[in-house]
Amino acid sequence: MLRIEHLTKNYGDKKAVDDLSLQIRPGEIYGFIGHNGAGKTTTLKSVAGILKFDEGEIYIGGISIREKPLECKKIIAYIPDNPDLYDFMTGIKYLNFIADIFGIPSEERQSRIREYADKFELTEDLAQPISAYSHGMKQKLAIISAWIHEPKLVIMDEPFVGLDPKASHTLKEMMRGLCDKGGAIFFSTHVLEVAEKLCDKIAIIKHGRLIRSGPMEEVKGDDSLEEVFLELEGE
Amino acid sequence: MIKSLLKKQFAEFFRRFFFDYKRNKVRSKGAVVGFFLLYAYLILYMSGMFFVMANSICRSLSDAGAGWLYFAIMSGFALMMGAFGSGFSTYSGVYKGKDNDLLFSLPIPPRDIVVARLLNVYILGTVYSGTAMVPALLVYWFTARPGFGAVIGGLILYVIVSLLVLTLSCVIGRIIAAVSVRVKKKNVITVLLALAFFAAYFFVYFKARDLISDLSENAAVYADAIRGKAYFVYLFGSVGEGSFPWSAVFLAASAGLLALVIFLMSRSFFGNATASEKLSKTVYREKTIRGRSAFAAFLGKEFSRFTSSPNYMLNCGLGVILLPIVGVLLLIKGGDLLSRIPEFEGGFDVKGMVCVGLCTVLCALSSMIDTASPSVALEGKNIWIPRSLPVPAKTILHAKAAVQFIITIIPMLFTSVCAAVITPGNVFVRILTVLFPAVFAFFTAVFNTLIGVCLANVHWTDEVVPIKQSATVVIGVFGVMALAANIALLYIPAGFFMRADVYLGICTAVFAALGVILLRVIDKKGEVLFGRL
Repeated sequence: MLRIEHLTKNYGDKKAVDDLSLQIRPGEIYGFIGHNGAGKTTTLKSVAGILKFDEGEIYIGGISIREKPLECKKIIAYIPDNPDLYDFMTGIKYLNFIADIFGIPSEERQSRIREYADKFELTEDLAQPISAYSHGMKQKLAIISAWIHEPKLVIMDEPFVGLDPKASHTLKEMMRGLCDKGGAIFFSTHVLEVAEKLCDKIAIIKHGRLIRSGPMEEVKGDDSLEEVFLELEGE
Repeated sequence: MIKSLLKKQFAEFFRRFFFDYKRNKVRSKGAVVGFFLLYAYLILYMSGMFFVMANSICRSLSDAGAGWLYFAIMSGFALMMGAFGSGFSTYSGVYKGKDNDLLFSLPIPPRDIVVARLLNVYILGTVYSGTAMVPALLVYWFTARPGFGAVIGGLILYVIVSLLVLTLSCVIGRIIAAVSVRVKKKNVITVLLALAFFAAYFFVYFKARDLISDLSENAAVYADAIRGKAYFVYLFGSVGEGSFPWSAVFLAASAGLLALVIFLMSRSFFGNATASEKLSKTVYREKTIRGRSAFAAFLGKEFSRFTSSPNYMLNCGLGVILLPIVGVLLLIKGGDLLSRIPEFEGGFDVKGMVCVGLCTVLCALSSMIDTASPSVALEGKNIWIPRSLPVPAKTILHAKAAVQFIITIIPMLFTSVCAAVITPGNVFVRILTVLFPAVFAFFTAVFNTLIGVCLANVHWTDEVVPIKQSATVVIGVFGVMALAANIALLYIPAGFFMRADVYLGICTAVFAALGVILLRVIDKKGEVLFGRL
């Protein structure tokens, strides 16, 4: 589903991501962890096609995001770390805007909006302007808008920040549901307990370089993910 | 503490001149000079207007011993300019700073935050009021040749005016802050209030010309009458003539008034800055919605953006109101005026010049609709949305251009038809009077979009910055206005050997071609330019 080959991104003299390679197969939830400024957001933005990278290649469903970004964007969804949405729209207008972009037929979009908004208990607030939403409500709306076109790959940067426990649980269910249908998830998080329970595979990034990756059980062995992470960070 | 806050405000205000946020690096010396030249052009343009006015009344009033009246009048215009320029941005600049939460979480007294935020308002107000005050002082000094005392008095008067402008701006900002949390549909109300202000401003400005000529002819009579009935005005104006006791009194009074206003603002600042709008909750009811194309979706989004912000509507859509007003005025007064114009004078096609001039006026007015110029920068923190969606940049940019074109073409067609009715030209001229402004509107929509994406700075904390203070807007308004003026200027030599219909036909073809070329540039380079943001 996603293949990153030797990804390198520089900000001036600083190497934000250095020769990073990883692969995500359909059905996998892939966690991405690392310290602040390790290069997680840069990698996720590069995969989402909103940041140009200097070297390497990213393939989504076998298509190069560098060569055919629009084709790739049709099958992915991206949720940034801070859900800055169009404040001047209402929730429902924003969802319809996204649905229009992906050409989702009227009946399908209505049933999906109904389903996801009910799951996140956001239905009643859909007519409210986004400017009146709390951070958590914006995050829920961003998640619904990401799921509305049934993407094959969802890229999320700290998706659980701001969500209440029930919404976090709903999101985890939705992530698993999407992977069960053959989709894939690539997300960053600092909540290692969540990553440990939820992810099939995990990648640890440090100073832009991938220092460990693979199936969760292989990476952590008999230790907890936190112990492994702290040990690797200390090296 | 206040020193640190003032440093932050200074840095925020001047940083855009020296730092390119888009490329995240310091601007080159050439770019800095270019930036300053653009702003200097804008200031000189407005100052020139007041220079002409000051020049027309200074001699008669100073000869009649009424220099004080001259200063009172020019200070009045300076106050209007200052309040007009900075008053509307006070609310967003002082109360709605994006760093509110950060500053409130720090142990900073609200008064210090208010004072620091007012620094930007003060600079802006002083520059705007200076467009009237500086020419007024220069004209007086060179015309009346006063002593050193009057020069100092004039400078003190400028300081007093700048303090009064700041006080007025604070009051306007405070009123908007109080009203904004109480009223529904505040966007509409803000726009209506601002339009009423504009109407009053232009009414006074145009009436002022008649009043000024009357005043020049009867300077002594008016001076005596005003001095008798409004002695306060006499005392205020006498500051400019070098009356030091009254300079001290007015300086102290204006400083005291400002201090009082700041004190009152500081007391309610936290409450006003953190007050949330009283929203009545609208419960969502499911409705059948027809799907739209990506272009239509972005078009709808751009219209929503435009109508959601009074700042955006007022600063980039004023021409929508002005164009029909001019159309109606042309119908009422234009025909009579134009019928008196001779056809040829010294081989020059005077009527043709009038036809070209009419088109130029319409094009110049259309420059006051420049929604596309700041529209890319206005994406701000939302820029990730269009960039993460499977939509080509050209579709997004076309939508931005289309919004400007649509809101220009509707009033433009009305006004150009009015112009075509009264124009003294033949049938071809009449057709071109409608066609050429429409083509010009197409060109400016595309031009402003291209400028908007080339020079966009999406890193701002207050939307007023891209809407009012960006290079894209300066070019979008004044660049297009200058371009329109050149259409009439070029006809002065061309009018000796070319009929107006031929000239307008050529202009139509040239701007249509330029518009198409720029559209092709957007199509080809849009992805790269948008990707750089």
